[in-house]
Amino acid sequence: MASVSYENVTKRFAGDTLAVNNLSLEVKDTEFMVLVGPSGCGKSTALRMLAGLEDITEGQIKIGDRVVNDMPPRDRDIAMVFQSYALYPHMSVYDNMAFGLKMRGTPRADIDRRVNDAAKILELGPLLKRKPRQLSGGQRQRVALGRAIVREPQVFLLDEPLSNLDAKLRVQTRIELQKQHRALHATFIYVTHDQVEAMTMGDRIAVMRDGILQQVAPPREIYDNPANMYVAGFIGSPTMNFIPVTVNGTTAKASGFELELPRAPGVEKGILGIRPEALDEHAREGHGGLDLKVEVVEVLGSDQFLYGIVGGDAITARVDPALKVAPGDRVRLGVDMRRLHLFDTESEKALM
Amino acid sequence: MKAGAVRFLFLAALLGFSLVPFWWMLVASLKRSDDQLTFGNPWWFDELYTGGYTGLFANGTFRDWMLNTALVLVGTVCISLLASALAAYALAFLSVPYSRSLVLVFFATYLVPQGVLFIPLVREMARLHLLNSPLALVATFPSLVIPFGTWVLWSFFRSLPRDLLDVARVEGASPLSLLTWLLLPLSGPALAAVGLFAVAIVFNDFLYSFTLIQSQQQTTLMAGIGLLSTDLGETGPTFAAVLLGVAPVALACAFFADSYARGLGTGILD
Repeated sequence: MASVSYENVTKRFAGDTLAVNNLSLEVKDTEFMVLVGPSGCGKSTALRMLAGLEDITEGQIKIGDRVVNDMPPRDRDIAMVFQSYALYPHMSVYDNMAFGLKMRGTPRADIDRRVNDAAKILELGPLLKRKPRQLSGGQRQRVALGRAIVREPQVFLLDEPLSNLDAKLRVQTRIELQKQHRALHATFIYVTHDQVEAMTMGDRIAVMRDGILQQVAPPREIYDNPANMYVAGFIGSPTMNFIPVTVNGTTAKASGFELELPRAPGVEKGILGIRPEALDEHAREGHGGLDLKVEVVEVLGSDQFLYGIVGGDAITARVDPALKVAPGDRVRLGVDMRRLHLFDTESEKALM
Repeated sequence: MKAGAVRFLFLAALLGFSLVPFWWMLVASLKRSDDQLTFGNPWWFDELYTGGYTGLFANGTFRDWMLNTALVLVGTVCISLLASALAAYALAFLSVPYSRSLVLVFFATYLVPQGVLFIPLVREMARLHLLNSPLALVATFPSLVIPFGTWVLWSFFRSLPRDLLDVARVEGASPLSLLTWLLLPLSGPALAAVGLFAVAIVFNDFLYSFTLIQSQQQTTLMAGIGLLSTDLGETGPTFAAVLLGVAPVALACAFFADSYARGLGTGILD
């Protein structure tokens, strides 16, 4: 098993596209690290550089203590699972899983044992003789994972492995992957654009945007203390409310309401960030509350989301699903003052 | 239903049209002397005369022609496929500068008229002491197949999902094992297309065989038939020989037409 470190890694593609910009990231041994961001943010490129499928323009990548910059993929002791699964279409499930071991000259008996063990864990036993085209999406995904497991690599790289599965299967496989991670005691680096996958699976999450690492932290901390507006908006669904305010001492004034901040931020204006779940129908002390003019109501059973306008700002709030609200109603909302964020207007960095 | 019937009739007519020459040759090859060309029904035979064929097979020279042709065919197909696959791999996956333009340049070599190449080619073969040997053709024909083969396999390789190659590289495959375990097994249609093209080159050629090989014993079926028709008054064996020369290509086309189209299809779409 091994740690992975990116040290000031930059990837510039032909035509001067900067895919990854000075990335420094330490992934601990046996950690489940999730790289998350929208498509084109450089997360897949970062993973492919680690796999040896892309050259590194600047900086260095280490697996354990070895610098792997110039090492061919086959010597890096990694396994990779792709979004497309990339199963060899002309080989049976067994041969797909055995391929990597065969390439390394593993003795036949060893291959047989390891493939059968992995097949047992992933419940692929009855499918070993089938060809990939005879398998469902979920089964193909398991074969792709099995192919990685049999290799017993130091590091597993997973590039959007759940994106081609339907919603229900995705949730099941998410849980399955976490179990496997614990059972294998290996380092996992997982790339996704899905913030739910990031939040649920990662020991830590690295949020990327335009090739630049925005923040690395455990899910809870990313959620509670986002480093900037981008991270705050990317993580969490529905997305955080962003409300421009002018600040006078500790008083923040928006177009439709006023709040007393817990301390003076030392700026004259900023962007107030309030998560929908920090806004509900309960009145709170210390402020007059927000008068929401409701435009859309979404009842999800466990939750009820209200979308509407306060003053001139669009606001989303999560209220008790038992509360009867119709579009056009006015609802008085209270703010959970402990969960208030303030961002700098220019730099978008978190001020509190 | 009606559209289906029209389609059937149309295809049946096309099939009949393309089979007519073969039938005519078959009838001719099963008649005595020059019956076919002088009198009688050209579409049917009065008696089944197989003397044309037995005569041919009894003839040692004809057997030599067949063996020479087989040697040239196998040599051409093997060398062409091997060289095209290796070239296509390098151009598609190794960082060869200007690989795209290189493939086009290869392809442009077909624009050079073959007549221009004869004199240097004959000199070259003489220097290699290959004149008058079927090996001269084994050395020549692949040069006509490889540019096309490289282009077809290059575009086929590039049409394969990139992830497949990436995962195999991570799994530990060397470039050679990528080629043998992954690319070639998946490239059946493209290989069939190139192979068929090679078969057509070998069986369509008269000029190269005629110029590079003077000796009757060393020549191929195609050039030999040319000699046969001028030497013998009997047409039966000539037609039998022609049919035997044409049949392999016709059969290969019939069986591999589908793969050929698929192999080329990916190339054109690219």
